[in-house]
Amino acid sequence: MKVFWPRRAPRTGTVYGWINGEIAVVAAVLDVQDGDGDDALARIPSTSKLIEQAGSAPHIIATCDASQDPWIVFKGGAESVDIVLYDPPQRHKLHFFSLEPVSLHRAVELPDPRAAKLLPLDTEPRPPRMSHAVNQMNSADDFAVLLRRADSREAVGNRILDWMFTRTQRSLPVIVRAMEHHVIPPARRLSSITATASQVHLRALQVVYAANEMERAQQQQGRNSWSACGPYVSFWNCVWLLLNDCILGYAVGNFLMENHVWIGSAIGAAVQWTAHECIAESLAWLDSWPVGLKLNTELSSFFHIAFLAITRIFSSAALAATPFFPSLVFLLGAIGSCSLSLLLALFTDLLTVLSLNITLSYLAAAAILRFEWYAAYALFTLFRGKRKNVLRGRVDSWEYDIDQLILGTVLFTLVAFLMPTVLVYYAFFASLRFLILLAYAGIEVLMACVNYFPLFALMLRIKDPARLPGGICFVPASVPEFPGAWRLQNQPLAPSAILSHFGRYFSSMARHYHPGRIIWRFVSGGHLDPMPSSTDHLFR
Amino acid sequence: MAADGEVKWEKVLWRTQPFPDNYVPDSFLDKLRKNTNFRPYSFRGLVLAACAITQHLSTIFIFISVFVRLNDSTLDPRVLVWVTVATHVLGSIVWDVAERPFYEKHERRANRAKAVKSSLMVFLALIGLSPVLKTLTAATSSDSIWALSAGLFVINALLADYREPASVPRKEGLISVLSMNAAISASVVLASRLPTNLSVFALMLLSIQLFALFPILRKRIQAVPAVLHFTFTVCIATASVWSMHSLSPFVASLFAGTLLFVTFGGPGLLMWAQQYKNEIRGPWDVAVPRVRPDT
Repeated sequence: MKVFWPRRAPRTGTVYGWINGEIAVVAAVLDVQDGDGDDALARIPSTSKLIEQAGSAPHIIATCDASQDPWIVFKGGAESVDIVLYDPPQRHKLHFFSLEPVSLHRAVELPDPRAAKLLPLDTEPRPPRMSHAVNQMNSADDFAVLLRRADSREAVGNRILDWMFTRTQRSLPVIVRAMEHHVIPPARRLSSITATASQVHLRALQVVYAANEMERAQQQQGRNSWSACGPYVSFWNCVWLLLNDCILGYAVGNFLMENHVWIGSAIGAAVQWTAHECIAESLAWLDSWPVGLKLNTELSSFFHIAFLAITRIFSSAALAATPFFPSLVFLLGAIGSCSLSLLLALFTDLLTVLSLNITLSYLAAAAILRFEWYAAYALFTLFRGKRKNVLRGRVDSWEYDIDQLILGTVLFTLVAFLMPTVLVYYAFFASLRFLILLAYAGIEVLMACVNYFPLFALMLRIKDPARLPGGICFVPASVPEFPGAWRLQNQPLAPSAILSHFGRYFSSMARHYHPGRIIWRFVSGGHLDPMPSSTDHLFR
Repeated sequence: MAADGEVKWEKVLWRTQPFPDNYVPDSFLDKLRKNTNFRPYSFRGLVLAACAITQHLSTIFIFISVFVRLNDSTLDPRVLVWVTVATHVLGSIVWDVAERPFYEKHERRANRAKAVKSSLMVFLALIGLSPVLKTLTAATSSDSIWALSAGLFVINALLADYREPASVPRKEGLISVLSMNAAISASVVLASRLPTNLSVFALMLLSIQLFALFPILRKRIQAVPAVLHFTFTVCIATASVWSMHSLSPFVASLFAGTLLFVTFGGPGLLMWAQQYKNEIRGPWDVAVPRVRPDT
């Protein structure tokens, strides 16, 4: 028989607990006479929620006396007894044991199609006796308190949650409905154009999520507090992140509002510098045999004039708008004071607008390069004696006339000799686009940290690991009264499990910005795009 | 066996024989045959086959001498255009005559119309593309141009198709198209040295005539009786050497030497090397099927 014994229980008295087959869980040891034993049991209200959670009320299972030789005598007969010591988790501090790591996120795991093909290894559930035992151990402290006629204490955190819930109970569904119908759809539609709309969309989703989690936490609490842990942690995490956002946003927004003059003029000067010193001079350099490369003179001067015209138009527009930059910075600071992530999203949009000439030139140069590659590939198909069969969608052999071959040859020499010029101009603008992409990525990383980082869970993990159980383990206990005994310990949730949700975002970002993918797109003239913000995988 | 007195050695492994492991019988390697499929080349056949290479090299030399004259402005481009057009007409008449026994009357008319359409298309396309082709490599220095064009002509000569025409006309393979590409690229590269658009147009017309259309005619002429073929080769070779002669006798003699070596020296070398042919066959080889023609 394995007996789970509370560590601080005295070894003399009447033992109250549960027996499930080979496992006995001890709730309390009271020093009462036999007659009073049932009185103590009568103090437990029969409709208590604790009985639901633990499965049944505890009853007298044994008597123990530290001075006698078999120090514990069970009602059903004494067999060999293995002691496992445990610390009853204190419910008012929201501690509990759990056989499986507590899940902090309601977001459904996206089903991995590869995993579905593998046979599930763990088809049978956990041994039911052990999970019963864990439930009983979780409620042991409360029962001990009831049996001793002491007052139960309630967790402070739960009281705050209840207070918040009762205050917002009326207005919460209204807010949620307003968000879902009026804010989220238009923000979602615009989120592919502006980063600001995407950020607003994300915030609205977070508010809805937090509201749902609060409701769920409140409900679960009524039933058993340990399944309320997940929604509780995510709700408070959302709240903390929002408050952080506001505070940091206020700080940065104020800074912007105070220094809007010199920041605005700095931005204007930077735009002019990019347009003139950076782009115009580089284009002139490319036109005059860069690094000794002899480019085709006519085509090179055409590119030079065309791209220079784009930059000139843009820089004269920026020059006309320069007096308004300080007020624009002031406005940005004012709007961004409420939220740092909104400020970062506005920065992203500002960067998009200010680098418009680079983006346009890049798109043009990339289109021309793609055309050159396509022409070269098509002509090579011609030389191989093949033709694309549109009906079947494949490449078939085909006999060409001699004049088609001759024309193809002449065009091929044209494409081959013009390729270096096009390649040089494309490489210049693609590198600029790549630098801007790096800037986007940096701002996005900051935004991800502000929006998603699981601060609350990490803080709990550091401060009070017993609130975030990730399983149980048995270690040998070196206690002189119980030789050969084990101790049941809570294994706190690993930080990697806490950050796994956050890590998924980073892995999708790494997949998007993978060097191989970037290099292939660079060489073939594909589109170098910033990562599309999709919130689908985080909130459902 | 024992009644014979002597046990004969047999080439089997599944019976124990009273011979040592390194026994060498008298019948060792008696089935070895040397040079069974050897048919000695005839000098005449080789020379006739090498005439194709000579013709190709002669056209390259003609092209180079015309380019030099155009570059020096000693040749009027308009004269060159007319000469090219006349040669093209002459060549298509020769082609038509040679094709006569193979096609019906209406087929021949259709082929003639198609040929006229093709030539007109190429002519007009070249007129449109000449200004672009003139400035394509204008910035490159002359030394690189000479080296680039020499390399491209070598590639053209190496990759060209010198085979005899098969009974079923083969379509152009990738290699022969690549060799035509190399020659056209070489002429584009050379054309960027010329002063006017008209001379560029004339040179491009000549290059297409010589490197795209002439190989087809050459293939057709290879089927003609040997004497005519040889005479034609001699005519073209003389023309190429003579065209260079007035510019630089040294280069002309180089040309003549190369052509003579290719036509006579190469076959001679091959004949001399035949004495070293050592083909070993035996019953251990993969069988060579003898395909009998249908009677």
